[in-house]
Amino acid sequence: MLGRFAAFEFRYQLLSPMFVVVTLAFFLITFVLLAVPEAAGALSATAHLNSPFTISLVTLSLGVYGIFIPTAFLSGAVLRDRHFGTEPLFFTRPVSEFGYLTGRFLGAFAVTCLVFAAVPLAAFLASLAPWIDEAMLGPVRPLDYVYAYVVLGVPNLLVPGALMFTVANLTRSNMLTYTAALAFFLLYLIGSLLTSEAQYRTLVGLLDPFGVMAFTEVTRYWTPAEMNSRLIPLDGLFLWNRLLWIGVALALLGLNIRLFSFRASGWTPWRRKQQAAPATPAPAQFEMPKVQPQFGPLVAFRQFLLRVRYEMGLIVRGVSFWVLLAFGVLLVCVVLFNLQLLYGTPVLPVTRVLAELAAAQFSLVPMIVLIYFASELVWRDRINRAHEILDATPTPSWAFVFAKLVAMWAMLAALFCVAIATAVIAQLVIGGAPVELDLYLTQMLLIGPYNLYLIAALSVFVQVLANNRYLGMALMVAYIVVRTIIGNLGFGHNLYLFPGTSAAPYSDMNGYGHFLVGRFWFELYWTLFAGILVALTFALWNRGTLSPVWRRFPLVPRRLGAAGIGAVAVLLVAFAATGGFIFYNTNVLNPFFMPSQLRDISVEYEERYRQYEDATEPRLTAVDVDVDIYPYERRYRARGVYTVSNASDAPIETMHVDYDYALDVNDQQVEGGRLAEADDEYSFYTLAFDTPLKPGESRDFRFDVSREWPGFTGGGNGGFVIWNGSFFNNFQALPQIGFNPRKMLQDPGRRRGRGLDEIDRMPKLEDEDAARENYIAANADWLEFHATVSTTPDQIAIAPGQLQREWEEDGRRYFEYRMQSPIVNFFAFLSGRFAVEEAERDGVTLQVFYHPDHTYNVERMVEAMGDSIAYFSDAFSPFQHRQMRIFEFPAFFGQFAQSFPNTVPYSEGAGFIMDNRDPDKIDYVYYITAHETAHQWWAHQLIGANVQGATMLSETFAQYSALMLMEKEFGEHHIRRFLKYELDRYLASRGGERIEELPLYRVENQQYIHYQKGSLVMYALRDYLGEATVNRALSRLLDEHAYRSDPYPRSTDFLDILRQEAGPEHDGLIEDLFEKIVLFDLRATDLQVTERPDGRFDVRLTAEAKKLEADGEGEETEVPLDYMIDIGLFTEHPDQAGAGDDHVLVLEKRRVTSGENVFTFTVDAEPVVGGIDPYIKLIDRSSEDNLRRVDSREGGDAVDGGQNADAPSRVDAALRKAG
Amino acid sequence: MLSIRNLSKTYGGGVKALDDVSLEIPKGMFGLLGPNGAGKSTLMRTIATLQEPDSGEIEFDGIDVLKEPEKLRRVLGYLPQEFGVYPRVSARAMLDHLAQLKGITNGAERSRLVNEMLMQTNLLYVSTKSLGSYSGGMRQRWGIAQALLGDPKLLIVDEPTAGLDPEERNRFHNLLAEIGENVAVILSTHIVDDVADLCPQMAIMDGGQIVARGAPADLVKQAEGKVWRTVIDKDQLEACAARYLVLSSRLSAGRREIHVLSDDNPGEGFEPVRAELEHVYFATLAKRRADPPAVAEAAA
Repeated sequence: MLGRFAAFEFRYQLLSPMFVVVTLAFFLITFVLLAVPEAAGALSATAHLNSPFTISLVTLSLGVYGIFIPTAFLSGAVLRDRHFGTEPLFFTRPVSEFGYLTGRFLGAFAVTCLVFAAVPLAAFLASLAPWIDEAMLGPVRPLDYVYAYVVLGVPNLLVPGALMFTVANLTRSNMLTYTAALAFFLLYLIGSLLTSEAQYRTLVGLLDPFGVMAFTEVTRYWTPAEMNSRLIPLDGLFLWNRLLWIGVALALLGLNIRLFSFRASGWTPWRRKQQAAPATPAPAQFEMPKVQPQFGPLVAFRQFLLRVRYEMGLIVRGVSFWVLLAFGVLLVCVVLFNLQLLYGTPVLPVTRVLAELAAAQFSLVPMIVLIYFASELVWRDRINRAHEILDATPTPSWAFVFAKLVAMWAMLAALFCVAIATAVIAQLVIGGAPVELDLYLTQMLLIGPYNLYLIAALSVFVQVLANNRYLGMALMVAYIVVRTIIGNLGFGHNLYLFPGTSAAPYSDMNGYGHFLVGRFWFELYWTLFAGILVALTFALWNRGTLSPVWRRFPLVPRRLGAAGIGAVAVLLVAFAATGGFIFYNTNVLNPFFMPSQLRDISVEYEERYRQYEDATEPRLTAVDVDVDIYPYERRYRARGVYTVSNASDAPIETMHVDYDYALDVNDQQVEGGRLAEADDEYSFYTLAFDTPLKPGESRDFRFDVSREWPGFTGGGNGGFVIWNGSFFNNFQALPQIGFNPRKMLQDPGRRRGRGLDEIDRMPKLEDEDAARENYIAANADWLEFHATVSTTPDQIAIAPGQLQREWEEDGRRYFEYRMQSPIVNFFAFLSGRFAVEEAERDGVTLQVFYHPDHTYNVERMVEAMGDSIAYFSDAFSPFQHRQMRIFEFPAFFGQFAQSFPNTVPYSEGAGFIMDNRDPDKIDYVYYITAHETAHQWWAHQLIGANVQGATMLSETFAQYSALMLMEKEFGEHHIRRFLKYELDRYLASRGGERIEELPLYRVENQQYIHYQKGSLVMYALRDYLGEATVNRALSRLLDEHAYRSDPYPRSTDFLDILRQEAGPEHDGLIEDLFEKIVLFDLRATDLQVTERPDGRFDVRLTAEAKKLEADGEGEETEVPLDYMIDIGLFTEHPDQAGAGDDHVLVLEKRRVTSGENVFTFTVDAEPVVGGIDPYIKLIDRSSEDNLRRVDSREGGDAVDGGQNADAPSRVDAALRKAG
Repeated sequence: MLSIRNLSKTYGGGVKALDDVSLEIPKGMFGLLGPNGAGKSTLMRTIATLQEPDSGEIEFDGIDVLKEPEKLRRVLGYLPQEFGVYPRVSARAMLDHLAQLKGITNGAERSRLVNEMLMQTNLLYVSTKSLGSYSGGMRQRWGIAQALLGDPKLLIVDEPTAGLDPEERNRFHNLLAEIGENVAVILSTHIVDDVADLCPQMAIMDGGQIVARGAPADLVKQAEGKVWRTVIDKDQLEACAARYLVLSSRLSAGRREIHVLSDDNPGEGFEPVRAELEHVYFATLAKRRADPPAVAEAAA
């Protein structure tokens, strides 16, 4: 019985067209994802394309997005009988409910599994594709695919399948089942948003029915080596997740069998009551009332409005709409309460941020509306079989068609309004920033989602064209998928990707600025196109009996009529004209290159000019430049003089000058020389000296460059001179001396593909030649700097240096700056309408130039600058400038701060809007300001050589400096919380390493090493050596190497000094911290407390300790451990305790060796928590197990420990096991 | 006057739904009788501007229906064979909606009309209930109510009494009969009594073709004196069918009563019966079955 049902179901579903289509779709998606390198890169930049990690991730992700497969097949198994009315046929036969149900389920589930098998198959075939770069593939292991399929794929079909089966069974409604699937999916999305905060990760990992979060959590700290070799182990959090959800699925099935009964007709929310016909007879006389029906365009218009109200009414009365709305609101809410956290501190809810986040999160809902509701609107009359009555009325077709379109737009608008309302309420609740209703309306209702209104027109058109609601929906899904892929692959031009527009990023400083111009033209272009689509929709509309679409084509002219044809013609002409105008702007006025063309350019440049890579060039020694900025015209001009001199022993005959491709070189000449070769296309010029430049001789090089941004571009990249908040540096704007290695093709895979040799990320530490350059700019040492910047009278223009003079002339405002000390060849120019906050401290002027509305954290910045300068001057060396300045720049340039000589541009999104109201949160404004100020020492007094380890000297030391300052301001407790984030980020980022991880002293500009690991290393160093020793070493480094250029200082120089200052007993520590990749695995395994008769307590702590050395890929080997490590006993868990030391019973360094260690103490008060390296000063992949609650306590009464707040970390520890 | 000339329609697969159909339909009740699959609904839908024929012309009151369907819709009332409703809308609200779509813009006029329609179809007391809760008969009555909105000159009712109980059917007939003399009503059905009771003019349609046309009384007269009846046993049925043109066969007290068509008395056991429209109908169909028309065109 069961077998027969199962077999029938299997055969029936197998032969359905849906099976073929869906299987094909999944095969193709998987294949494209893995066989197209750009797409695969999105999955994991570092693991092999066929690594178990990638295979698992693909399987999981497709399981999530393929939730409709089990939904369709399994709910179909149940609802088919209801839909076709065959229920009575089955339910009156002698079959058992169990056999019927289980058989159906098994059959449908088998088909679902078969469909999903397309995924591992496609993945496997993708790995065989001959065009894939070999370096991206590892060994082929078929078992990986099977494992992923069985452990990851099948349960992800079972769970939603069982759920949908249950819903279908209980409700007997197609719509409710799909709504439930949607709800399920949205819940999953909401859960995924919560994982940005560590405390939720375990919970979400358990509750995520797809296991994706658990997977992400378990593999969070995996290195590339692990990703390429390990399958996710069936233990810990992941195992619990699978067991839990498989259990849920089986329970649901059991529930089905219990509740299902052939006799019950299924629960419907609205019971239909049959009305009894009243028995009164019909009146004998029938008088047809006389009416005068009206016709004509005015009447038709009113009928159109009637239909709009009607269509909207029907939507609003449906359940799906409210479900969608509720989830949209939920999505928005979750995001908004997780506002762009940095180190756990949110930004203020400024409208700009909220609108962006809300719109982004909410965007899934309108997509569903567009696809699903378009089909609803178009097919509803037919589905209800009311269309014949409607189509026989004299109402013109356009009234029906346009009413549906308008209803769709109205629905979208209503949804957007609700999202806006949610965001406004959230903003008011969080408080702190003013509500800018006009910005909400433009971002979230009018300008932002404009494209969606256009896609709505497409969606309705596709439905009419496809003549079948499911085909129509499928086509729309395909369209969205294809468009996304093409967009991500970089092939797209917004002129042919409907409805592509240029970006219009909003900044509080710049508003929408000039971006709206380009945006307007693109929107106009596509609106005209949409107009044509609408006309065609109307013309092809099927009135009456459904006929094939090709039969309706001949009717189009008649439908449109002369007026309609005329209108379409006008639209077409306007469309073409607009397109031409746009093309002129995006491709003629401005250069347009496809990514492959850009790569070709890079390769060509290398081919032509790499020969000069090691040529001896004259070196830059002084810069004197006049920069004229025209913000409202979006252009600038720079005229200046470089003083260059020959620092070598031999005469120099030629000099090479390189410019950014986009610059217009108006003039260039060198004293005593001429332009020998000019390559305008590649912006590379050779100047020959008439008489060679003698050693030690200097000459002037004069230049005149400019750049403008006419019209608008297709991508919306608005350039760096904008209406308010212009910001650019010398690499972007001025000439550079010598061959520019940054213009070469960088991506290793692509280089291999074209047969080019590998470029080292950075020269080796031992490279003596490379040490003659610094890592920022070649052919330039410490410069004299003088600049005059001009802008419009309403703005302030900035260059590094002390302001000498400010004046107005000929309607322009001029600022003259001069540097009092030499600088590196890295400087910036800015211009904007700023308000200025100023303070004087210790003879230094501290200034913040900010957007007038962003007053929130300005004082804090001033304070931080002052504190930093005071401390660093004292600890390291005197501050070399007379002023220190911070400038705000628009958020769309990036969320970062950067340190130029006495100039720190700071993104509007990076610190100006930090929410500083909660004193418990980490004050990252203070931290970033301190870090950037510290760079005035570490990068602007001393700059590293262009070899490995260079950034340690600038970034790591800046981190250390900021940390010390923060500790003085906020205390140790605060710092520890900060360092937890650093540790997490370091460990998580190791997995993203593309080439190889390196020890700190050889860091090759890898952020996670020089920032995150750097913080941890320096803090540990300070812990062992003491602040005084470390500072002394740093101070000596400055003393001996500041402003040195030949050779530039290296990380080894610092280590030499450090070893001298620290003493030989710390050689091992220094080697471990700086010269190796060392991790620890420390675990407190047992904690016993015994109360003594004298009231004191004997404590026995057992800890397991391991020291591991890792190689570049993350392969670890254990090495012997012999360290002094903190052992701590506390009366309260340090994470819960506030600041201060009251809860610390013991904190002392004890000798720890590999393996088991036992420590005994006698203390006055009873400890509750104890452990090894409790403050996590040593890098450990699982740091939660460093501490532990007391295991056994003997004698006397137990201390009232209260809530076992440590419980989550214990669960974590149990679940993590061998990290 | 509705004038149908040479209407043809072939569906994909070669099915000829309309085969050179020509008809002149005057004012008043006109019955279109035919078995299922005869093409009646296709014809009804084509006249009601919901379907395009492959060839032919339709003219009503000076309107070229195929070229200007919107003009016909202004004076059309259509009750489809099968129609559904929006489940959660009340009968009254839907009537009001349709009345507006039919161009009755004056609110007061419309509300009076809707009330009158509800009263006439005896739905006034349940007018605020949702259409989804109506029984089959009530739904049909609502259907005729909406068809009558807007004072139509051409009323097409397609299989209106299928699924109604006798009382409802009766009521429905009364309603149709009352509809004025200036309206052309086409009643398409396979129930012979509907046509016999109501229609002064009729046609029989089978296999996409019009096979008989005229007043029922005249058609019946053609069969006058040619219908005979007898009672036989079940096993004799086959023999009878071979020898006579059997019009109908019924069970009667355990045995079979058959009616046959024959110009003269067939002989033993047969007695003459007064001819009815039903006989004419069965006779026409049976003759076509026995002597199928050329199907060469259909295969082309």
